[in-house]
Order: sequence, then structure tokens, then C-alpha cells
Amino acid sequence: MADLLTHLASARIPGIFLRDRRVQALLVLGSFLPDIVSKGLYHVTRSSDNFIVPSHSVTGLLALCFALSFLLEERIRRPGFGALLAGAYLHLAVDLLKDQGGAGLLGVFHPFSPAGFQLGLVDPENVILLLPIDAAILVGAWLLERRLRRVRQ
Amino acid sequence: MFGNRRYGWKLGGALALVLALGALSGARGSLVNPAPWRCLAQPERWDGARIWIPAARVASADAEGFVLETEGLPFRVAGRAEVRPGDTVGVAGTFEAAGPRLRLGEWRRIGPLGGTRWIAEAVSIVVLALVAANFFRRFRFRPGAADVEGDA
Repeated sequence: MADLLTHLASARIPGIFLRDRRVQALLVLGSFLPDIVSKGLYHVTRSSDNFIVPSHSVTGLLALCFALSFLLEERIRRPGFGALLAGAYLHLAVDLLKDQGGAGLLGVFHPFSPAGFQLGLVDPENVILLLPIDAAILVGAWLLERRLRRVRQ
Repeated sequence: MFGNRRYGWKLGGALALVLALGALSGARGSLVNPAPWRCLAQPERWDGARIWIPAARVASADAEGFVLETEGLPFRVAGRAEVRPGDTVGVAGTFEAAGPRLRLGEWRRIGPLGGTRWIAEAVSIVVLALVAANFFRRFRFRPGAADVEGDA
């Protein structure tokens, strides 16, 4: 996984353009969802490495976000599902940037393909170098969002 | 599709699908990069598996390869690499039950920043706590909200 600050920064960029703060919060939650589920299953329930593959797969996240959207009230369920799923897929896109030693992010297209994919642009052991970039993105997003809100008012 | 009609079926069906995908993945077995301890415990099962160890310390090195110390266990790596005891390296390769050992594919030396991952992880925990606080500011838990029309 990339660090959560990077995932937060990646979700805040599209989040600027969402008016509903609840949908914004769901987009961010969606961008954390694959890691919350995989780390939770691995560390808390001691699930096997193989069992947690759907937490980082396109199909698994689709079903998971659909299930989670049913914990929301009916009137926010549809946009909530969209936000959760968009955030979760954004997470996968960010993870694909990492260098995973040639193995790639495994099982992204599970159950259709076990193949791993990676772009190998970010060294996962040196993610600390991303922290200042993430902080700059978050500050930029906050300033832009404030400006947009003023324009909308 | 997102209405309250057949709420239980939709929620249950989606959760069942997630569980089924997990079970299928578990049954297929070698989808995921298996942990070194798992390979050492069941070498025959993981023979030929592709393994990636993001970072581990080199315990010893010789002409044939080197031994990594990972998860408290010595893990033999076969293949030429210019490493010295004490180096931190990331390696990827194919596990061979005969040995058992890792046939080295790619490797790289982790620089001095490699030991700073804990900082990023500490920041991640703080970020998670802040995002959770924001989430619970926006949402309240109301179990009755999901009741379908017609329920008493």
C-alpha cells in the first residue's frame, strides 16, 4: 500500500468538485477502503494472504462498495456507492504506481486473471519522499475548495 | 437497484459475493506473493511461486548467494549480487523447494531512507484517525433508517 496521506491527497483532488460533504467523506473512505479491509482481515482476523485478494480487486471492491452503500440512507445510497467505488478504484490506481519488485499488484482482475500489474514509478520503501508532495496537494485542494465555495455562494 | 426493496437480499448477496471471491482466491492459493515463512513451512506447496521481499537485512553472503533475515528467519537467496552482511535489500525471484531457497530475479539495495517507512506509517495512523473523526461528524448510526416501508 502507499501511505494513507497519499491516498487522501489523491481523493481530495476530485473531492473538491463534490458539493455534498457527506459524498466527499465517502470518496475519502472509499480511497482507504482496500487497505482498511485488507489490513483488518490480515491483522485482526488473521485471514490468509490469498483470502484478502478481493480487497484490491476490481470485482471485489464493486461488491464491497455495493454492500457498504446499503448502510447508508436510501436517498444518499446511489451517490454514496459511486463515491465509495470511485475512491476505491482511485486507491488501486495509486497502488499500481508502486514498484512491487516486478510482482505487481496481484489479483487486480481476480477472479478473471491472477496476473499482477505495476508501473513501478514509486519506491514503496521511500514513500516518505511523497509526504511533502501530499501536503502541498492537500493545501492546494483546500485553498481551491474554499475559492469554489465562495464562487458558488 | 439502490432502493430499500429487498434490502436484506441485496446486502446479503453483495456480502456473499465478497466472501465467495475471497474463498475462491484462497482456494486458488498461489495468487498472492506468499510470505517467506509460509514458503519455508510448506516448500513443496510454494515451489515455483514468485516472491517479492520489499526489504530485509543481509545476514551473510558467499559466492553462491546470500542469506536474508526476514521475519526472524534465515532465508537463502541463490544468485549473484554485490551485497554485504548488514545491507538492506529488496529482492524478487522464484521460490525453489529444493534448498529451500529463492532463485534471485531482481534485487536492489535499499538506501538510507528505507528505514524511515515507520514515519509514513505513523502519519498514516494519524490521517486515518482524522478521517474517521470527519466521517463520524458527517454520519450518524441509525439502524432504524434502513427499515423498509410497511414494517411496524
